[in-house]
Amino acid sequence: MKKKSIKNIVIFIVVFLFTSYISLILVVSNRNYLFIEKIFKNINSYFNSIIINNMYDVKKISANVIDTKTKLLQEENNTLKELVDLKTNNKNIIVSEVTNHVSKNWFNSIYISNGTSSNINKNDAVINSDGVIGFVSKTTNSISEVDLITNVSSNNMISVLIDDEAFISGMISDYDEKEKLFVVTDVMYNDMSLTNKDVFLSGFIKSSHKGLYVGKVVKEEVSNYGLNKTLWVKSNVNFDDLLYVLVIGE
Amino acid sequence: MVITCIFLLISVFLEGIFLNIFKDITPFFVLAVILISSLDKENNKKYYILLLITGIIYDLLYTNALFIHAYIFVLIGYLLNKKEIKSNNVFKLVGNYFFCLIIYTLLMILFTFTYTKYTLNIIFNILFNGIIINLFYLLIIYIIYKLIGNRFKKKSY
Repeated sequence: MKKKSIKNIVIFIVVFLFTSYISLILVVSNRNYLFIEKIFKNINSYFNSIIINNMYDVKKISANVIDTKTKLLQEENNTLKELVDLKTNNKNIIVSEVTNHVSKNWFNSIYISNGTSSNINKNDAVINSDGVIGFVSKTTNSISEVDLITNVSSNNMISVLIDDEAFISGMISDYDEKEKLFVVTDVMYNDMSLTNKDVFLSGFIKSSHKGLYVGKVVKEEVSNYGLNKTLWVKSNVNFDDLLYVLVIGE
Repeated sequence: MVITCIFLLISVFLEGIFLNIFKDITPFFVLAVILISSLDKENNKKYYILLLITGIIYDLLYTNALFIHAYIFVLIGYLLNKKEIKSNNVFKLVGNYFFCLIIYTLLMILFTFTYTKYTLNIIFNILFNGIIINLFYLLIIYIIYKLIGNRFKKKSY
């Protein structure tokens, strides 16, 4: 009897380690979806999309309005840029709906209802009217997976600029879940107070990210023996209530 | 077994739909079905295969990691099949349900802590934000199983 229970425990541990290893590789690696995954995720996205569209009819209309308005503003912006001899902006902006929240708790990611057929690519930024939400990590023909910006860590820091005039750079290296604040480190120290300054993506990784609003500095502290500053940035995005998002393509 | 299969599938899809409607609440409907179906005395290899397939479908639909839920559902099914845990009493069922939730949460944290950050606040929210709805679902499943059980008497679920 005792032998049997020891055997069960050993099996439990071995299978646990094996499953952890496989799942870790599947989640962390830069892979594409398997064929069967695509089928299931597309089915799920399709049904959720129908439900959302029926449930939030008004919001669907508002999403269409946003879409049209975005295009109009973009065209207007381009016309104005042409007038002052600036390069036109051909960013591909897609309004998409969030179709899966299940993996938000455990994987810090969401799924949206557009994919490569809408010109969405890996690393495209995803925003809403309040700021940056995350980046596209995987994409299929009709759905994409978005890693939320709240999952930032010292292993995958995000480069930002503080204050659109002074262009002070820093790195978002952590997210304080309790206070709901982003921690920006490696900010070159200067005497100027940065509280209440706006924080934007720098666009060092992808030029289309440049200038996307992240949040406002609410707290600052001198760190590294006076060499650097650490900032705490408040984002207005409600990560618990994401329904429609904008994907910023090239 | 067929009824369990149908309920598991419904619960898997319901969890996805539910989270799109109430985004702050984490439903644990599949665990409720596993708990109630574990009361059946005739659970065998087929039951574990069913849990394994349910877990794989769950991962294919909602997550990025293919075998996490398959493992967790089979393990919880196995633990609930222990004679010492099995009970028809409603209060003990609720207790067992909390036991399932804790096991599930602990295992999910163990599986995902390398790439997901957790705080006590998050864990507390996951476990208790939807506790009333989860218990309500458990109760509904329990009543339905009881009704079906009475109608077909000795037939297996």
